[in-house]
Amino acid sequence: MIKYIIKRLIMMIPVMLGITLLVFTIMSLSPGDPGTLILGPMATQEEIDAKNQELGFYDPFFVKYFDFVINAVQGDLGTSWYNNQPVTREIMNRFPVTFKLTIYSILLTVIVSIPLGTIAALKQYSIIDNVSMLLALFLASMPVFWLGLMLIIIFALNLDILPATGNENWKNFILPTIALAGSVIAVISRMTRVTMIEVLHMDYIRTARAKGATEGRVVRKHAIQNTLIPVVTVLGVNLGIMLGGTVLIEQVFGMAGIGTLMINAIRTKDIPLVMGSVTFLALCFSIINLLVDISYGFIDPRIKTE
Amino acid sequence: MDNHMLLELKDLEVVYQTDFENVYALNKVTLSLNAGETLGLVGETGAGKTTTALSILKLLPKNIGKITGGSIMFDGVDIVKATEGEMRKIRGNKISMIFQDPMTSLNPVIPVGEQIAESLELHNTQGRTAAEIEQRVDQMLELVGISPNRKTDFPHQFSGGMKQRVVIAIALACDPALLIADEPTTALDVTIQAQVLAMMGELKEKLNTSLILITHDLGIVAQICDKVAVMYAGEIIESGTMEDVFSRIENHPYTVGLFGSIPNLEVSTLRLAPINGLMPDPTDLPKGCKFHPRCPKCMDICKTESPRVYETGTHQIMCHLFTQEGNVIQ
Repeated sequence: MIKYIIKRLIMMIPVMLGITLLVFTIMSLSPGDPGTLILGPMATQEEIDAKNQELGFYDPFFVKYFDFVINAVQGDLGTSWYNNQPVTREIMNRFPVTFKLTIYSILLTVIVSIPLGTIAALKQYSIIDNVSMLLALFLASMPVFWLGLMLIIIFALNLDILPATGNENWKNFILPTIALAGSVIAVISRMTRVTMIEVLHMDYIRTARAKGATEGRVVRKHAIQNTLIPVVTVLGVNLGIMLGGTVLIEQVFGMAGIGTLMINAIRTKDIPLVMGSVTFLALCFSIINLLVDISYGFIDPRIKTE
Repeated sequence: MDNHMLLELKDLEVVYQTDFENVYALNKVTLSLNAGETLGLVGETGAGKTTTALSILKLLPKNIGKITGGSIMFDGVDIVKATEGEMRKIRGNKISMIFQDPMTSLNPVIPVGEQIAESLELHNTQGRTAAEIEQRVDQMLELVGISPNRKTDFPHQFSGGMKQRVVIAIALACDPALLIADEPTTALDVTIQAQVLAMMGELKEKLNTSLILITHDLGIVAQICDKVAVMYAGEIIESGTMEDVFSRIENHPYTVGLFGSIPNLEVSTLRLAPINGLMPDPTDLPKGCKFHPRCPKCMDICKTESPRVYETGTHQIMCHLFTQEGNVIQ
């Protein structure tokens, strides 16, 4: 298992290099230079050129990229062009909000969708099955930001029971968490339902029944774990989508997370900050994927031994 | 040895009801089995062999399979009328079943030892402690020829033949009075087949278990069965002791066809004689004798009237060929 984790960590290196190279290329192709940004519109062309020279803006592409990678490995993602702060510090200031939002949404998804899908599968074609699957269809059809706006209108503006913006206390996280988890809950509960139905038709379930096990025991002991195998795969993919969704959700709910940081950085053409946030999010995504893959080993013994 | 009647099926009828049609899977199946006996249930795919087995355990597919008539008496209990709770006490304890495909009948995420222990835990009437259950698991694994230190392994770490041994160990863990083996060797290759069959025969002798062996292989039946019942389209068309059926003095034309489909080592033939045609559609069974469209000896009466049972001693044949001159019951 440890060997596997080390192997996976090593495999993350080319992935990270690929992502950073791609983003770095795109950013280099965009117009604009740090000198103009930092010194403002009053500066002369000479001053701007001198500043750009000092920042290494005129260096060849690969020299710049190489410098970025070397510094990034040491935990230094550069300095913001806009407010002259270290990018790493900016990100760490914002990270807790994004982290909390993602974790809450993951927890909400797991707590709601797996039991819901299981119940729907066990009571196939019942009212609870039909209602929950219809609800799932609605949730799956809504864009994240639209759901967010609707929640604000209903719960913050009309009912006035929850705050619409900010990230000061736990109340601020309720609506964003629901908005972010919404579509994933839909996907995962449907997936759980269909997999559970399939698993319940397996031969080993019949074997368990032939042993004299009760239906409850059949589900708990024999069906759930087998159902989770494909569900966790889909959950893993959706966690990535969720991480991307935080960018939108933070914007809608005015939360000071990495998503808003990144969007502001793009607006102000603060390239080091954009690079830094993208790199950091990519790293988070890789780590989440790794955790998902490790969790497989615990769910499916066939993977652990290979 | 105690030879009382253990299982008796009388005029058992099972229908699979779907939204579109009714499948008449079993039509008045009558069977009996004494303690310690082995019954071979023979027939083509779709004849109703597995349905018979599932009815005995009352494990027919939920909401679809229904017992619509007849009775199943097992050891004094009427299974047709038994509640789910009563059935759970019988399943895996007094009646166990070995399913067709060992590759899929074990749970892939649970170690095999735990899967064997499960039926012991579920039917722990003797008040075994956890350690005693573990001991019994080891004992069962040894019995089927698997080293007990492999009990923490998962099913995918075993070969097909070993998986079937594990399945057998699960089935025998509670010393059942009746073991139903549904084509236990179909998924295995020939050498392993022989091993598994030999082992089942031995275990049966040792534990005095009754056995219903479902198969389409007459060779296997000849090897280990005391009694034979031949099924066709949800009916038992011939039954008797092994000698009755295999002496080939009188046989149902379908059984004759089954024998004709086996290669004979002593006589040189160029081609085997298969039974032409297919099993009739169970949603729309033919009138009269259900075998008549495929029967080489079909007479006019076969197309209109269901045959009655012709009986000589223990041998019963359901065919007009014999009932016309022979001795008729019912």
